[in-house]
Amino acid sequence: MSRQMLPRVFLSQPLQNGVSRYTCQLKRITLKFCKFRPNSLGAREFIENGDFLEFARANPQVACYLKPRRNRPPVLQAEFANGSVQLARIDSFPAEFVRRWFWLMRGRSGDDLLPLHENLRSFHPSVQGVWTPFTFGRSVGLGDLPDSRHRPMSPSATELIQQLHRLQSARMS
Amino acid sequence: MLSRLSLCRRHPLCQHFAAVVAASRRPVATFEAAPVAPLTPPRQTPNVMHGTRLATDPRWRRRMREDLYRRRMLAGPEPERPRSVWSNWSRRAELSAAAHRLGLAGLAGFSQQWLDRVLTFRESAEADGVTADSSIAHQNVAKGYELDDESSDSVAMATSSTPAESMPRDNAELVPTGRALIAEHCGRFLARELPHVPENLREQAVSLLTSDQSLSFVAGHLGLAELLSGVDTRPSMLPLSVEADAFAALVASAKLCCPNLSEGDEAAWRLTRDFLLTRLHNSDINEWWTIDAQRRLPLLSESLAAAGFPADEPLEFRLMGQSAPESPVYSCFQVGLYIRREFLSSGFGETAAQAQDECVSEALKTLFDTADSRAPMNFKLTYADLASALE
Repeated sequence: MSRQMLPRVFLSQPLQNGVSRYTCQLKRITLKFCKFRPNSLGAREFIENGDFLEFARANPQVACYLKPRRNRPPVLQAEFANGSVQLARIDSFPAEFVRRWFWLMRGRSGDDLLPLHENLRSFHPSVQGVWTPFTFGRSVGLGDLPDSRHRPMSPSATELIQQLHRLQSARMS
Repeated sequence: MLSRLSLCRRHPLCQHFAAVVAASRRPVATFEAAPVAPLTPPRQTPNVMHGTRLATDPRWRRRMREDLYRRRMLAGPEPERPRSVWSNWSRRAELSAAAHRLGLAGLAGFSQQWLDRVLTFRESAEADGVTADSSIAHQNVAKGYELDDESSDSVAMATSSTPAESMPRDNAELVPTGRALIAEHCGRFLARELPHVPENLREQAVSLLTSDQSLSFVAGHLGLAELLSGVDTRPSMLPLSVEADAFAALVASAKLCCPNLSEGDEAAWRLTRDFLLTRLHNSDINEWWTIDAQRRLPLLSESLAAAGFPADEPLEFRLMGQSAPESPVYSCFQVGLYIRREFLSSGFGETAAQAQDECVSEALKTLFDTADSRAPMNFKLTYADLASALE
């Protein structure tokens, strides 16, 4: 889907995360892999290199699971505090890429990846107050008619007679 | 002539899939599914496969896919199950992760067993006939996925340093303590941050903050709902009050588990401050209470009297600006409120009367110091600051 079709969202954090304390939003992560098929080779190496344990030890707030599944492609399932579940297909990925996906999920909030209206959000965007037509003491659209600022396109009947009178007076004098 | 659809149905792959679908309707775990009304097949099943054509698929396979999709829709939705029935679940690991996530793992006297009891509601501990000591072991053994590991957590769990007698069996006593503690924290915080707001309005805000809906929202986002035992944790069956009680029990436990009193107070306060009170951030504080329309002007007079303006000083409403005569489309009136020839507030409206009402609201915001331009709330307060502010 192109960016024009996707709905736009405003920048936000679940439970105002980071205002007072930062909580890792990733609750649990499951690495599903096959013990035999070649597309799980990267996942198996990731486990055997010790990177999985390193991630688990560095992130005690995340429950890490391994789920061997026969004849299925490898998948990373990340569950977040806001209830969302994200799946990353790591089919035939090298071990380094699997490691990067793990650490990427750790930093996510679980919100859907949608385009933003703006890269920042403030509930107080104006410091001095938003401008209104009345900010500098103007009254708009009021006045008595006829107003001398208005230029008529054609003279009125009264003005025509007055012009005729002036011409006639000039001729007579 | 046999139709292609009947040929399709007799295809072994199709029959295999039908068997898989039928098997999925059986409950996966020893768990009673909520009674679901039998589905009547709709006259026309929505077919998302219509219009999608895989160029590589032959026509018979395309029709088979459509048929399989239709059968899957007719089979009905998956039964709702709690998260713990799947194989990638270990209660011990989840409690440990939750303890670290909530920042409680470093507290003296806090252990997984303690957290387990905090999130245990009374029904289960009696119904299963399970003693409180072995609740974690029982569940893990029942799951059959107990793995050997060298970490000291499992050892500590089995032979807990804290004697079993001192730990409560469930959170029944923690819940009311926690609720009271949360209400006290919220009341104190708002009294400190909004000293000019009348107390009845602050109480409205506190009751909204400490309502079941608010607390269960927080508990859900902390991941407590899945960890509860003794209750049905399926989202449709879990009442809001139970989730709210879980969070309350957690706050109480943070205070009570620490042998050091001040450390416990601080830990409990931080839970309330960081997860519950931050809901006030980025929200209009005036939305957290309602003032009746009839009550606004008397309240303004009272607030002005409290601010030092004598009661007999008249309030003057003056038209400051007007755009077009009164009409439903273009009119915009600006009315200003003056007292003792000093400007207090201004308001806009489609009619002069509306602008006047708005003016009064703005004046109340100015007097209560809840306007947009006020300083942001301080969410880094410690418990010592909070306690000292009231003295």
